[in-house]
Amino acid sequence: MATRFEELIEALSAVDELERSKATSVRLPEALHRAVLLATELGMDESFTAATSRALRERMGDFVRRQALADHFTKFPADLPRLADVAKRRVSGSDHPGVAHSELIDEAAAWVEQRHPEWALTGAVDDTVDEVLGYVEMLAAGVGRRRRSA
Amino acid sequence: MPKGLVRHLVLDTEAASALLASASVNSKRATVILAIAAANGQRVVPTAVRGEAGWDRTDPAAADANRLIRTDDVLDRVGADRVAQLRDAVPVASVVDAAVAVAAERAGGSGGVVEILTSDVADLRDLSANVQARVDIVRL
Repeated sequence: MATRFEELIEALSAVDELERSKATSVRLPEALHRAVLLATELGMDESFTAATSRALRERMGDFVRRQALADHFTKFPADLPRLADVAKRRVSGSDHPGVAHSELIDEAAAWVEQRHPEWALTGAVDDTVDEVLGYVEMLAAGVGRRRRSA
Repeated sequence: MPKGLVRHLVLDTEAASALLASASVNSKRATVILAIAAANGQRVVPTAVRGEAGWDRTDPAAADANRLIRTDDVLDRVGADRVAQLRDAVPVASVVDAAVAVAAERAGGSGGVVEILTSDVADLRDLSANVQARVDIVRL
């Protein structure tokens, strides 16, 4: 029998394949409703419905990814990567300063991993890697480093 | 949309096969998982790769792989034309490798870096030189 999570994945996959829609009623904060209307007028999305559907789809896609990774690491703990390795792979082939200064990724990842030791088992991979890379950018730019006196 | 740096991932046949492995310890699967964890953009497997790797999404044994890579890059009419064009440019490349390159071009068309995780670095490198995307080829 499919679990609830499998049902969710199946439903989310069907979203990409089917165009059928279903009317539903949700209560939104009035200011959010007005903000979406204004953003739609300004070209964010083609309609209020499209904006709402896209936002929900992205949020559910993120949730499924987090849950799938967390489940995998629970089932196969030997597959758990080092945070520094994930961050290095994220920047590989890009212009990020971490490519030329991998030691900064090691430094930042060690610090972040101390603060979030459960980063992989909670599935919060993307947020944690973004945090590491944000620190690397600051370190590479010299933020927080003592300047040498002239 | 992911924040900041965007990294997409396309699996080749060996990577797809490794993801299907069910042993408690498998170093190739661990490498694929690292690539999946690092990819915050699109994560796709070409349908040609699935066919070659024996990845049947209806098979309960594929449930874990289905969760981690939900998107198929379908070899449709337009894709088949592109495969033919790429094989014309790189005649030694297989149809499956060319399908991987097409998937990379589609994934990276809107920006970001596309990782191709492959055991066939040489052919994929030649193919990638002909696609419109920023490709990072990683050996499995």
